[in-house]
Amino acid sequence: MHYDFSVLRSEKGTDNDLHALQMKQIGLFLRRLAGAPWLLGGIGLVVVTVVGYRLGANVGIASCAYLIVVALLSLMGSFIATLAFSMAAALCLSYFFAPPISNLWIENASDAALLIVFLTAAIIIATVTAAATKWKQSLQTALDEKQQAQARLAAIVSSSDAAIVGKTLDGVVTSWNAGAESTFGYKAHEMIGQSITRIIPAELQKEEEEILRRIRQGDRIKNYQTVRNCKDGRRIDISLTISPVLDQSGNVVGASKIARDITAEKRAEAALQQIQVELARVARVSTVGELTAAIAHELNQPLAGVVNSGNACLRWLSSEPPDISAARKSGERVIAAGERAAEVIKRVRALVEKAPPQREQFNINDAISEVLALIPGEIQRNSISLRTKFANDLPLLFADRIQLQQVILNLVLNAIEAMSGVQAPRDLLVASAKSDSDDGILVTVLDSGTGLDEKSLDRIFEPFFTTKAHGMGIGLAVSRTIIESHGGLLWARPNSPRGAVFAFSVPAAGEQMS
Amino acid sequence: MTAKEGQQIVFVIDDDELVRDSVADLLRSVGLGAQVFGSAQEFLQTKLPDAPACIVLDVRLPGASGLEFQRTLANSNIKLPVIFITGHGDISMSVKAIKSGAKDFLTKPVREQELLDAVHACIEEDRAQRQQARLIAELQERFNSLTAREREVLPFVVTGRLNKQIAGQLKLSEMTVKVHRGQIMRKMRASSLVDLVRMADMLGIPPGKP
Repeated sequence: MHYDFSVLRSEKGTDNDLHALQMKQIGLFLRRLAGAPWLLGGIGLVVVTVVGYRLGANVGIASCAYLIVVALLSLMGSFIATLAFSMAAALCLSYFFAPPISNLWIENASDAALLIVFLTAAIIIATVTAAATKWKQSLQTALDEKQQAQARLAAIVSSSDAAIVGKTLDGVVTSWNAGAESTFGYKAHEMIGQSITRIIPAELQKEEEEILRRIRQGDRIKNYQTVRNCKDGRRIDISLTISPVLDQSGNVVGASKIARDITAEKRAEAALQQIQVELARVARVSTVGELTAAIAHELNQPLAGVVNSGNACLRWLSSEPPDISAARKSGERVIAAGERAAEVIKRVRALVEKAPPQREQFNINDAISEVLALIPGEIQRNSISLRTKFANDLPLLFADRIQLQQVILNLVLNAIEAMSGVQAPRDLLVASAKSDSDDGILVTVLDSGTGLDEKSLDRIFEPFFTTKAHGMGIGLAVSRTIIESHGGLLWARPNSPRGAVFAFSVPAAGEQMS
Repeated sequence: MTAKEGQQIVFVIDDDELVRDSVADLLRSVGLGAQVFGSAQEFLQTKLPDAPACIVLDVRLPGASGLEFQRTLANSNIKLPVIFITGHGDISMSVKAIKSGAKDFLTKPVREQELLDAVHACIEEDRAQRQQARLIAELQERFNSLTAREREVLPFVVTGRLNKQIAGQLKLSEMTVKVHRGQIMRKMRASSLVDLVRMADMLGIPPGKP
């Protein structure tokens, strides 16, 4: 039995190469020693025999001395050699020490017994030592494997691009890999032993408490998106996965955290959303624009008739003498033109009514959330702090979900636009509640923007009235039409200390449109 | 609907009956004659009265567009001034219209005064143009009554040459030239040499070369 460390295959890497080389040298040395048991056993046997014989030692003392040699041999690892020398020692005992001397014959029964005891003891020693050696060796192999596996894991962690950070339950950093260094800019020696709050933006410090609270409960937090500070002051978007670290008895002793820099992804996502919003807006405006042009032409014709014939009528009446019959004809033309204009309006209305509202049951809070999910780009670009306050006990609405979402989007975009110019905190609150009057719901959009003066408040829902530089003055008029077609109300009032409040209420059951 | 002979008249061309009738009504109420047409084709097939006139034209004509119609007019030697009316005039369209000879470009609904001013201006222009044409026709008639020799002498007279010089140039006696000059002045009904020069200019007669 001997150790053969050379079977350990070296991992890549200079440290591991050096380690393997040392192991190889030790292995060679031990292998050289492997031939030694026979030589050393022989020498030991001869020395004990010669010395014992000269001193005239009895069988008991000699057998004890032989046992020591056997024990030492067995420790050197060769089971066969140990057994062979045990037999040789027994023969020596019988020949040199047990009377009659110089003869293998044993005279005394007690000496024979001693010899048997010696052999038995020698075999036991050899066997036990061999077993112990084997056990020790397998233990060593297992330990090596474990170390290797750990080394491999450590290599994976240290070479990972993702930031992998270990921390205690108090948020003190215990490990900080190369990925973390490159992601956050802090070196390991700058962070280990420090609080993780160092990389958390001031306004998000509460977040860490919540994370640690959940980790203490043994929860795992997966793909949590948030913002962290870098050493150079940059803010980066990251996706966090945090797992509790357990000790052997299953207690949570720390947390391991994997962070991925998703700033670029976020940026692409925001750009995409920006384009979508822009597209939706362009589509809306161009449809309205085309429709307006067509209606304008259709109305312009009879209006031209009204104006021309009206003017003619006045002239016929004011000529000297008045030409009553011509004036009457002109008046009739005015009426005909007016009727045609009314006909145009009727046709347009019929066109619009061809698309009846698609009513369905839904939760208004979900509908609002969907709308807000459309515009994170707008929110971020205009540095707006958005809050929502949803009542939980709201009845389900039976209404046209898309139409109501159009109204909400309209109100929210208006609010953002109204705040984009102000140099004060830009707070946007979207809230849902039960409406006071009936069993319906109330949606409120509050902003801290430029607000509305008394005059505008009166006219803001009129078609083609606008306070914006490039507005069409259609959004709020359409919004009010939609809400009223649902049997609800849409109104506005000033917010305090500044800004505006737009609110609408809709009955839960939804009135059927005629 | 037809205008009286000699009265100023406006031709209203618009496919929308209501609009064209109301425009005609308005024009009649200020004492102008008005004649309405539903299409460019209808207008071109009608024999036009000889009176100061202009055309009020809707750009969105069915069949031919207003701009195309304007080209057709020029080709058929109708020199009436045209006022364009459009429901939605854009800059490029109005530039095209004005370049191809439109006198004015108005958008609907047209203000009464704007339309009337444009119509009056165009009729005045047409009247002046007609007068000029009539004058030239008469002068041409007088010129035609000259003999071959008189026509030969005329260019030298209007360049201000003396009878002696003309006689030398044309190998005639000075007396003969003097007689021709008298005949020319009489037949052309010119009161002075200056008057005769102006007439020759209007007729496009080139001055005689020595």
